[in-house]
Amino acid sequence: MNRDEELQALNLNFLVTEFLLPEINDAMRETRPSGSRRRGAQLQGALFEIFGWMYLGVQVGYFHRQHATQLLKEHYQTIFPKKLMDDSLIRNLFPELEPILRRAIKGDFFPDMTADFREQGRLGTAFRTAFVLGSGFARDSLAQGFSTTLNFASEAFWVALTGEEKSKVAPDQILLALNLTGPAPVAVTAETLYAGFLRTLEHMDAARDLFVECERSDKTSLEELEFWRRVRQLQAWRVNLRDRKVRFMEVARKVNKEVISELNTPDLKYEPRFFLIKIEELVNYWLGEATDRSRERTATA
Amino acid sequence: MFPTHCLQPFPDSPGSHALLSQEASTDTAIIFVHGFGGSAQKTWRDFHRLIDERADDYKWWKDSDVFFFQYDSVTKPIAVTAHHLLSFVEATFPIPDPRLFTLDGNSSVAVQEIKHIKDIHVRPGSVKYKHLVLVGHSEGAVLIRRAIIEKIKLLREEQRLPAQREQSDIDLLLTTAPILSASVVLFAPAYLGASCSGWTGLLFHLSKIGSFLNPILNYMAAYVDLQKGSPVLQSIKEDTEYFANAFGWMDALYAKSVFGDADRIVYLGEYKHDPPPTFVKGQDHLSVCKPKMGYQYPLEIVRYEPRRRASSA
Repeated sequence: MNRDEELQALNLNFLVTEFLLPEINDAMRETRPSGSRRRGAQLQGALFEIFGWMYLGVQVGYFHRQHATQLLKEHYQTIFPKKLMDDSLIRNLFPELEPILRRAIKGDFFPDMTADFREQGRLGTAFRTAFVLGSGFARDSLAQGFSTTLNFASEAFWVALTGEEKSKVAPDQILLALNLTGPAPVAVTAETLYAGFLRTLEHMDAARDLFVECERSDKTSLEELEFWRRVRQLQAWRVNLRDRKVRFMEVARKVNKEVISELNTPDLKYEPRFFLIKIEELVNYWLGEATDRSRERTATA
Repeated sequence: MFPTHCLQPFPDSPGSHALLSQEASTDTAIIFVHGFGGSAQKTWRDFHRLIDERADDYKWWKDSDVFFFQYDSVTKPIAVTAHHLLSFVEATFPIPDPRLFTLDGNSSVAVQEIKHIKDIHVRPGSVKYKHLVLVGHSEGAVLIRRAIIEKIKLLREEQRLPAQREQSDIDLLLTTAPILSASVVLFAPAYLGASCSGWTGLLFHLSKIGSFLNPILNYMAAYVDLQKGSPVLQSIKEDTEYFANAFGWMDALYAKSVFGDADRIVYLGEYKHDPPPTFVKGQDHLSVCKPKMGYQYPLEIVRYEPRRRASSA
């Protein structure tokens, strides 16, 4: 094994310990009869995302193709169960990754992938940064509770948590819910839902910040911008804004409303949609809508 | 070509992780401590990238291993977390956990997954650092100062603090309590108190408002500790200033502080004996610790730098 391969093995160690094994252990627990269907679907999504990270990591040379293949073979049954709980999961949550996921399910994990990224060394630090942030998002129980509910809860369950009939959620209870840290699943209540929403905003904002920073630099290549676009695609399923924007914005509107009622001071001048404006900017980024700067650079290229 | 630093999980400390240099000349450990409501992943995200991308301009990063300490910033009182931080520092400096640096049959789960991988090292040889840098943001700064105080008090309890300022005694003590020789860099330190923080701080920066949660923040132990005039902050200040007066040779008692001039969260200022803080134009509470292509000061200031003094005696 040469030094590059050794480093790629060390890189994979972080993925295995921080990302893959915890999700696999959770998935094993959830396949028991007592496991909830909603959570099962979320775990399946998380495992597909991990495959996506491995795929992108192999593309940019951060992981070694053979190591990653061996790892996937080892856990094939868990990551790609024969009977997917819901085949529409791939179509709805991973539209951009659908072709590679379909091939992976057939055991063709990493077909010819040399064409996409040529600046492999340069993208190593970008991948590492994105990956650390991604693992933080994935292992945040509150954010994942919010994601599960947003994506998979029935309308009745969603309304019960967020509807007008629901008695007012006290911010102190949300703050107490924010005490919950770490990866252990949390019970979904209105309080944990709102806390998860706020945590999710933090993760979304941090990821956007990195993209914008790269985008602003004249030294950033188009390939790097493409890399960050793929990173967003990998994680976008967690907030699935194509299908769940209405739900997402419902929560945002409620927070906006609550804050306005707190700020009911005649002396204070503020834009009444202050919070929503920021959320809409975030949503637009996560929906993949090009910024002016991206459009300008793509046009120039 | 691979980045100089290699990302590894920190054993037995969920969420904590390290960027380990491949350079054999590595002699410095830099430990980052996030603040209230932050995380090891989010708060320092730009360092993860730029320490390698800007290594030609800031060469000392190549010879540094970087550790990101993760803790529960919301529920635990400062004294408890500071105690954990001290344990983390002492488990890292001067001799870090060897499991961080090697993939072998005993130390890594990955090896069990990828069976032919064994005996891979981040860099050759055993690891023993010469220098330590502690870097804190907001509440993280308070934790660092409290951890240093705890160490000094333990030494005092064990009657190991030298009565005379003999260099040989000092050297001996620094060998057994090397944390006391650390360089300390604090971004937006909350050691004079915070007017709002946590997700109030987040909302504040997302939305330019910040006070709607204040009436209920008392539920959170760490927040209570961070209030201006809190007994915890007062005691850390008094102890640090007292020890700096008595043991001026302990570099770790002196901190370089950096504030953004747009910080609306913490009360700005420094301890009596500290060098004057740096105020950075256009940065706020959250952005001041995040280097960017156009704002590289955090990369520049985080480095080991022994304190200059007229005489060691």
